[in-house]
Amino acid sequence: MVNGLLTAFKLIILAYGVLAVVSLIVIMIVIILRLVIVGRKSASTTGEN
Amino acid sequence: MVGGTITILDVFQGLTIFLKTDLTFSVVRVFLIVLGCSLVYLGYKGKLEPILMIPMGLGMAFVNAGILPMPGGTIGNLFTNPLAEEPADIINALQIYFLQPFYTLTFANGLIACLIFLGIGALTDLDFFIAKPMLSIALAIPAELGTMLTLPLAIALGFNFKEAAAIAIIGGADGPMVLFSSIMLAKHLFVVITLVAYLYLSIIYAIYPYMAKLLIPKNMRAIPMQPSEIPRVSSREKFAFAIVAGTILCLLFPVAAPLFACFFFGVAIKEANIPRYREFTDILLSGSTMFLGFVLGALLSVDIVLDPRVFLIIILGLLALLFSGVGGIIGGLVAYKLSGGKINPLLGIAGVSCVPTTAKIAQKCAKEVNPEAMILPHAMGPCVAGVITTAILAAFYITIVPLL
Repeated sequence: MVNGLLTAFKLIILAYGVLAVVSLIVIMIVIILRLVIVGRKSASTTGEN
Repeated sequence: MVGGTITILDVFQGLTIFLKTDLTFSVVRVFLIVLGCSLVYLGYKGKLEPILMIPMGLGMAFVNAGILPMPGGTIGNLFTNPLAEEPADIINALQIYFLQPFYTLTFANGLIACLIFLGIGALTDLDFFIAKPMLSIALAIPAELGTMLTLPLAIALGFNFKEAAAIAIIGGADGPMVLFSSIMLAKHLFVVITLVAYLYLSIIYAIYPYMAKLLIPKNMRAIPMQPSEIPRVSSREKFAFAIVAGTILCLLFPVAAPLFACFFFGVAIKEANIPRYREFTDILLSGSTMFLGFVLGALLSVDIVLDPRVFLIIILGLLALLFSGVGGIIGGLVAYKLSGGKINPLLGIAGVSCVPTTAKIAQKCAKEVNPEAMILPHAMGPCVAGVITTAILAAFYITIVPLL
């Protein structure tokens, strides 16, 4: 059981690592999309003006 | 019986079975019937979530009442046979058990969870999440504490890794996710795990407010957060996010791709604003939830409850949700400190993903101490982020645990 618990704790650390990396990817997607879409929108608005 | 004597017990077969089976079996049957009726009553009175508790309670009461003699001298019911796995057995079962088509075609492959996820996606408001993704995710990660800590606890109690991971997902407080993960990881326990999850998800509406009051001082709960503080997010941004994030998450975790695909498909339908599709997703969500509840209830027969591990799953499920609630509140308190007192720590409890229940709980707790507080739009951010983080963890467990 001790081995099982050790593996479980290692798994938790790995899970937090994966969660952090994938969360970062999701945040990057949001930021990039916002920059692209909001950027294009404001560029087109400026063009119209 | 032609020419013979027909007794009253021949007419009412259910009574015969009730009298002939051993005492423990009969007592547990009565307990489950009473439990089922209680859930229906509590749902009817609005104490528990009626859309789920009424069908689930009815299924539970009816299946345990309707036990009859089956061919081969055994006893059973005419609702479902979850043990049928071989093709020939499934074909037989489809002709005997009236709920078998639902079980075989929507439960055994996780379709029902995906349909509910599609409906949830179509209801989800991504505004705050897109406006403040970092804060939303930072609040959702601590709220996964139960999903993490329950794993070693379950292993210490004798469950294997797959079973422990399936139980731990209860901490994510997301019913369809629990159903999907338990089917993938521990099919033999999925009925109990999913039932426990859904029961607790109904109860957390009563438990979390007390937890919030206990752990968050009144002045912090009263912090107002104006909806006007949220930067405007266009429908185009949300639509693009659904497509890109859905594709990338499916690429990273193909094993959970059905869940990601359905959730982001729902979001895309909402943001594309196609009225017919939106109406259909509403109906789909209602129908799926109704059948999920009824079939789950009907799957809870006596033999499942007599498994001694059920009691342990009930304890672990409760601990998972309590840990997640505490983790969420700790996250909220840290955000409050780091923001210099601008963020209401109740947003942390919304990080426990149960969309939109936990966001509503945060709003309810804030309104109790400050009637003008309107934190619901802010709370939807961590709530949505919670769905995404729970899906990531579920995908991680489903991918990694079988390799151990």
